[in-house]
Amino acid sequence: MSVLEGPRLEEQVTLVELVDRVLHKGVTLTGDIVLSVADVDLVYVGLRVILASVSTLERLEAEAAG
Amino acid sequence: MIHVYAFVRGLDDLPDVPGVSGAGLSKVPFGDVVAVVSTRDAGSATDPRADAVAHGLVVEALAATATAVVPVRFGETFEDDDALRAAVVEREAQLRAALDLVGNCVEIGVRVQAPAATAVAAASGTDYLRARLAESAHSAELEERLKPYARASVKAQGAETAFLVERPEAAAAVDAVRAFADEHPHLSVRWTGPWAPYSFGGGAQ
Repeated sequence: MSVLEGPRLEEQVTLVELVDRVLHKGVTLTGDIVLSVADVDLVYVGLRVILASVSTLERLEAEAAG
Repeated sequence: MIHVYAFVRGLDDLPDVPGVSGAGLSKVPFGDVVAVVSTRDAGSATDPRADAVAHGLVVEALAATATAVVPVRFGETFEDDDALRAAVVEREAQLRAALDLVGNCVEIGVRVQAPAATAVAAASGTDYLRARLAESAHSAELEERLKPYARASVKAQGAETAFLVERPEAAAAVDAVRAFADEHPHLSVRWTGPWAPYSFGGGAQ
């Protein structure tokens, strides 16, 4: 994934942005995407879990360091 | 089942990245336009989370090597080559035009938000509307500022504008976004990219 330097995005956030792009942008050929709403929800739920666990991890690390 | 990632031009070798469900990538040529696809057994178990990420990573890997890439939205699958062919033939002119447009370009997404632009943050309806108006004025200003670098731009969903920028200009374009953000400290200016040109495929987006 290419992200220019700048206001640094966490890798996990970039992953959400990436998924956001593949789900909502890009050409459609059939005009009828097979992916069901439930699947889309699943994609997002999964990423939220990753994000939540990353922030929990950071908190725990900060607590351990403090 | 054939999963389609993108249409490309000027791709020498397929990138060494796994497709959805770990499948290998292959090319299906349509004249000078090539579809990059992978195949898996219909009905085999899939993990949409991992597959969506894999799809995006394949597209980015293609964008890094091909001279032009038009990403396909995640979820486009076809029963076999014939079904894919039938769908592509119908859109060939659109795809060719899109590939002409995006050659050697990347996309940078910029989101400009004024404070109180969300209904929750706004103290009143008037505040909210005022913020939205300011936002659209600022978006127009940003577009003007990026004109020297952008081959095209398109307003995407939300407050995002996608800019199509020639690869060598990407860093300068981002500097311009940064300068704009510095001059408007009250705005939230968030940019992502460079991405494969997702927003410039023409037709249904």
